[in-house]
Amino acid sequence: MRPLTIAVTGLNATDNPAPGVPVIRSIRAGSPEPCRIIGLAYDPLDPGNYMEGIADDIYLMPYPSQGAQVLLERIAHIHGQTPIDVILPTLDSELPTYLKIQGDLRDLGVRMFVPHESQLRLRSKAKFNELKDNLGIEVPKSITLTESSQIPKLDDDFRFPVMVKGQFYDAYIAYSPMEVEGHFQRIRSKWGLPVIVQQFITGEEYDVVAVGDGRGGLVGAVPMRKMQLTDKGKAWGGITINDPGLNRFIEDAMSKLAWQGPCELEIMREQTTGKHYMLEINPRFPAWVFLSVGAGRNLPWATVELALGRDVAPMEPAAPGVLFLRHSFDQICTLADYEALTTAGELHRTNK
Amino acid sequence: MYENLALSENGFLFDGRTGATYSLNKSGTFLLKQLIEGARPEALKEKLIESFDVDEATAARDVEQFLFRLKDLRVTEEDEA
Repeated sequence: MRPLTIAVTGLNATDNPAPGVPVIRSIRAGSPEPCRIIGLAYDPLDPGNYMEGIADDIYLMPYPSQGAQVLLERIAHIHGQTPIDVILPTLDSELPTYLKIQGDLRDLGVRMFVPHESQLRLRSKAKFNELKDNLGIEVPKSITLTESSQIPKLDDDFRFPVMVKGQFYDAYIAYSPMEVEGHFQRIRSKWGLPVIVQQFITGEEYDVVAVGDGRGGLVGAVPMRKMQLTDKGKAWGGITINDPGLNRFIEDAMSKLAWQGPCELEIMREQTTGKHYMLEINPRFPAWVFLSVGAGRNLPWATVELALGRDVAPMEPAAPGVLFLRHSFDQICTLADYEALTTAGELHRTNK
Repeated sequence: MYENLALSENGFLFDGRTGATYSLNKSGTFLLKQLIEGARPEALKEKLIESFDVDEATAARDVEQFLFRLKDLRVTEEDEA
């Protein structure tokens, strides 16, 4: 009998790593039987392609911009060589394309456990107010700016400072409408419109990896406090926490969203009131997801089981005080492996 | 109230609710240990005087400041129902 075969995307492992490598490590740690892992990479230079004990086979993939049909054809080709049971997409940018081909993949016998399209739309920063208006999830007050003439009127609705955010990336603090103007222009030229202005909340920020069952239930969640940051503000070290108030907020939000699959939540606890606010919902595992394994809550493996249609019992909150510290590593790669990926777009480590 | 706290003999404190860690001095470790073991805050001054070479006024001030600091850092905050 062939082993369970799971394909995972996002094998970039730089100082702003993709979640693919830690997701694979988690699956290997969780699976009771050895499984076969297929790495779906976008670049021959993704370090995850070459790491021992990560992917058994690696295939280069078309970028999401090439469209759903090209992606489907590539997966069908891979599936013809190495039948895939489950695909775990791990990058925000590829999810919409994977959702478009979800039905075709199901017909091929390839399963996923990912958020619904409507959930992807809800978590968009430009529509974040709807979480409060429609679902009652606390979010910082925000408005979307489509032109700079809106900026002088910000005084009427906001107390400064405010956060100025791009719809996909970048966030700056602004202490006056003049500073908003500068950030607006910078973000507009880099990420396009709209630009989002958000109430600034003083307090403690927590990061959470969670999996929802799609019916309002929380399968499991591991909250952590960042202990070290990169210059891009990404976690380079963190520690699990167990705050009953935060746990209730997470459970409530996941229930109201009826979230399906993995997500990373960024939550702020306001300093004076102790009120929690949802700052961001990322529809995928974070790169620090292996901490969930360290805390005894293997959320990537739970997601594989859910994709396979198995029941997964809701997990109790994880114990606090489990740390992770990330490190960088110089991966030695053979020219033959690099050549295989560059010329054939495939690398099969199991046949060595 | 203190189940979220892990305090070592050396005074290393981890607050599991917030993820914050602290290094306490000898008297701070002593006082927090008393609280964790069930002492009432009003009894701390006498306990400090019994165990450390300190006069009553200094002990009262130190205990008051220590309790204020713990509260300010959310270490002794009750969980909302």
